[in-house]
Amino acid sequence: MTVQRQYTLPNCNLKLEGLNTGDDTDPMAPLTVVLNSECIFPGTPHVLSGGREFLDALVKTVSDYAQSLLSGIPYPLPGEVSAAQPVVLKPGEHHRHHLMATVTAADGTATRQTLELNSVQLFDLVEAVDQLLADTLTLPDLTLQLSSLDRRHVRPAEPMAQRAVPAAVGLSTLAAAAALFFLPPVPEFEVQRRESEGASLSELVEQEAANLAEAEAPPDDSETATGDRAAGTDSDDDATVADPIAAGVALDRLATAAAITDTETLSELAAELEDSLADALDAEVAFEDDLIYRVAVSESGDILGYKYENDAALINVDSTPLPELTFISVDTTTTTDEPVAQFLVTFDEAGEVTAEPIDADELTDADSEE
Amino acid sequence: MQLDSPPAPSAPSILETLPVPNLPTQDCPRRVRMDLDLLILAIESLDVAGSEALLKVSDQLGLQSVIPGRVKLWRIRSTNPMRRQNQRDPLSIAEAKALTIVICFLAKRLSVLMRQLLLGSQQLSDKQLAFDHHFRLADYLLRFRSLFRARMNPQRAGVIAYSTDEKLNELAISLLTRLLFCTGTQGPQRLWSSLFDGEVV
Repeated sequence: MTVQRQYTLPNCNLKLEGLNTGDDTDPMAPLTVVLNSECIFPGTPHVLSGGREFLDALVKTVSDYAQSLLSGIPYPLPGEVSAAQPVVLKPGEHHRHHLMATVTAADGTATRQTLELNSVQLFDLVEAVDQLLADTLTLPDLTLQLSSLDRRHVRPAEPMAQRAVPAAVGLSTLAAAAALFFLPPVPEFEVQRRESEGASLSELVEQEAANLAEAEAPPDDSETATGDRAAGTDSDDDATVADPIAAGVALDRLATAAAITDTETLSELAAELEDSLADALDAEVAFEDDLIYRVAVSESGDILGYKYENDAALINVDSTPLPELTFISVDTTTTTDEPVAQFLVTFDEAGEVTAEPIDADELTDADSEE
Repeated sequence: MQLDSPPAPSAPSILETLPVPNLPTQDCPRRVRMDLDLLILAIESLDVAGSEALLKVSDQLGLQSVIPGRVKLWRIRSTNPMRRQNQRDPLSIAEAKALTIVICFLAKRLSVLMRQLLLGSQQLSDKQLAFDHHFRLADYLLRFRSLFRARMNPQRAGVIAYSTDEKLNELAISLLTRLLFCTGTQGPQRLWSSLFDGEVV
């Protein structure tokens, strides 16, 4: 029996004609075979009609389009009408929607129709489809198939090319900067200078620390006889304390230096030393005892260091010209390779200065005894 | 058999009409929270007594256990990250379902008005006239703009996008269209499914 079902909305009428499978007496038998479906938009001359294929395409397209309109996320819908997709909906401007459909007339000729629907008309079309889907007496096999879109369907906010721009710019800038860095010549690395600078700095710090520690330490007579002992015993004048210490250290520093063995040079140096000391010695100063110092002299005649040999020498060291004449190196702890001559200098009670060369071998023996 | 405690309250059966989406997390995504609150905002702009009606309808539909009162309703709506008083609490699936059903129920009541407004806006934009020429539409837009500006945090990036009247009008019209689609026979199912578009895995 031919059955007609109609879904009437203010702006859209959906009309179905078909056959029901039940016996003719049952008016509630479901319609299962669609012969013709017709979609009419009152107020417009358009009539879309077709068979079951058209109806299926209409239901699918309209349902998906409604979902994309509700969520604002575009569904993967075909853009053009084709044989496989007889109904297509596309968004237009000003909240309008373009419904395109291929309509097959009764004589078999296919014509393409395009309708422009506003939101209310589209809603009525959706509602007509929904009512058809909800109707259990018409095509019970057609039901609403809704499934939310997968995450991967969401289009990123910016296209891939646009998102790649910052990364590309960054990479090219890095490459350009790297190329530019190859243009200037490679600076020459001065190893020697840097090493000495670094060493002197660290040793200065160490020395400072050592001096501080010894200044705080209580005087200790059992300490080995070095110039440093002056720091403990000499309490007369703080300003002059530094000189004997530094000079003593300087003498220690010269311990490993090569000794000048040439006797002629030695006698010349001795004479020179006697003269310079006698010239610088204050004539009015009188010593109660002989002052004996061990003095190291470089080849050029400079006094590099001295050390007292008796207690009187230590007490009266400021009265002698030795602190003034001694060349104190900035770098007091580094051993020097410069050849030195060592002399035993004696300031006697009469103000006479005598310098006697010391044999290098004797010197080392004396040191080891101490 | 003697029971020591009352039976655990079961979820309202009306919520079972909506399927549970396959989400990577237990709570509703950010977009769901925003959309639901904005749709309610549109309903409030259409109907002055919208929020009262919302509570009444949720009582009628047996959703008291999910939305027990206006404080709870306010807390649920404040999960919208655009809000000034944004609650950091999550929005549960049951709460989102309840809001969806209530929104569709209220939208159905207002469908005649929404049709009028949408047809009016279509005619005005076809003639390139301002929305002010349609009294009822202008009223809706004005109320929507003032409600939006009163409640949304203007420092939020999502709110800055709607800084001008034109953009807010556009948003209001698009919300009206969405509400119209909620009034249909399958409205709740369509709205519920659309909320999770692009969120499910």
